[in-house]
Amino acid sequence: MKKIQTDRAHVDLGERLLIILEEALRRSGRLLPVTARQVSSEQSKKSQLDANTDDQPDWYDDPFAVIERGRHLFGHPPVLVPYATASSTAKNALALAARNGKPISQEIRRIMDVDRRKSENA
Amino acid sequence: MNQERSEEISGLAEAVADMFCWETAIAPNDIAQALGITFSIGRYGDCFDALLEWKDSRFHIYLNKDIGNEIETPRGRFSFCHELGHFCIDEHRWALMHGVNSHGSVTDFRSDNDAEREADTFASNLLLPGERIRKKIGNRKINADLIVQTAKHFGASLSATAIRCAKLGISPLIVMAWEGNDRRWCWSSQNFETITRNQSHRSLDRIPRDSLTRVVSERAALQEGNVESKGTTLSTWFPRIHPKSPENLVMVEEVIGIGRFGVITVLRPD
Repeated sequence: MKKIQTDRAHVDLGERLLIILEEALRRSGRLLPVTARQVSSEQSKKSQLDANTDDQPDWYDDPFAVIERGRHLFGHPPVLVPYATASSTAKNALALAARNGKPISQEIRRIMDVDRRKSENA
Repeated sequence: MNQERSEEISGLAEAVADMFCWETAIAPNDIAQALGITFSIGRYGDCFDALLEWKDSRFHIYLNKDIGNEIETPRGRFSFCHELGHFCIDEHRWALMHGVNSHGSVTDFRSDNDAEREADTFASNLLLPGERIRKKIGNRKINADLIVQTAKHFGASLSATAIRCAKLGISPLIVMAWEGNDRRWCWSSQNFETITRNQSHRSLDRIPRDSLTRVVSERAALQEGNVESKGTTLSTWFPRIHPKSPENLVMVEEVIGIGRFGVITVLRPD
């Protein structure tokens, strides 16, 4: 029977892919360590991670404190305003969402602008 | 709007209510302030009920008192919360910040515009948070009087409260609103929805002349919050229910006046 020639480089690539795939599955929790060597390796990685992690500040435990801090930093609660920083293209954009809206006359627009300025400067 | 989206928006509104008005009545102006949104209450003719504007990288809400949107009125509170909805719903805020206009043009709960319906859902859940309503109502069966009391307690409109009570399904209930001869909307609690599909007659002419809703609608406007009641059957209201069908249940018909906006019919089991 004719022996099949295997391409060494091809086999290495396949092995490397398997190692990467196994590591990805292990990291995402889809593959659990089973052999003593795998368990020991995972434990060692966890110890390294623990050693490099500082304790979180106490206020991290209170979600309202996190929101409050976000409000001070960004002027808004960060959970509600992921787009708080306006993009440069939208900076001068004007957009309206009206409940039961009709066309706005120039006279009304002028009143709105005055009211808005007053409110913002209050 | 599908059920999943509706639940997502309800959850967002209730989270906002709890975040900013924990154990207090819902104050839309306080929520706006906390979110860094300025607002004006002014006279803007009949251009809009309320409007959220994105300009110079800032948001501002206008509330139009020319058509009854004072900050303490149910209509004003709903309109204010509706605009807060446009801000709090990520997709709406993003669209506004990128210059996409959204002009709702149909009143109350009849809006066909998805964004407007979503903002209405947000407003109704913010003003009338489900858990707080359940707590307030407790084990009582919902009737027209209880809807009126709940609306007063939460500072919400009778329409929004009636719909919310039906949708929450605390007890079996059907509510519909009439303006002149036209039906504006119809909602049933989940147990009734399978029978009614919310497809009631759309014209008051189709309802018997002696029904309470018709009698009340044809005389002078029933004062807001006033209630009257009488016996009826489901087939009177829903053409898909045959009078001899076992689904043709005997109900109590109650009518709540909503002033110049017409009346709300409340149907509940006796």
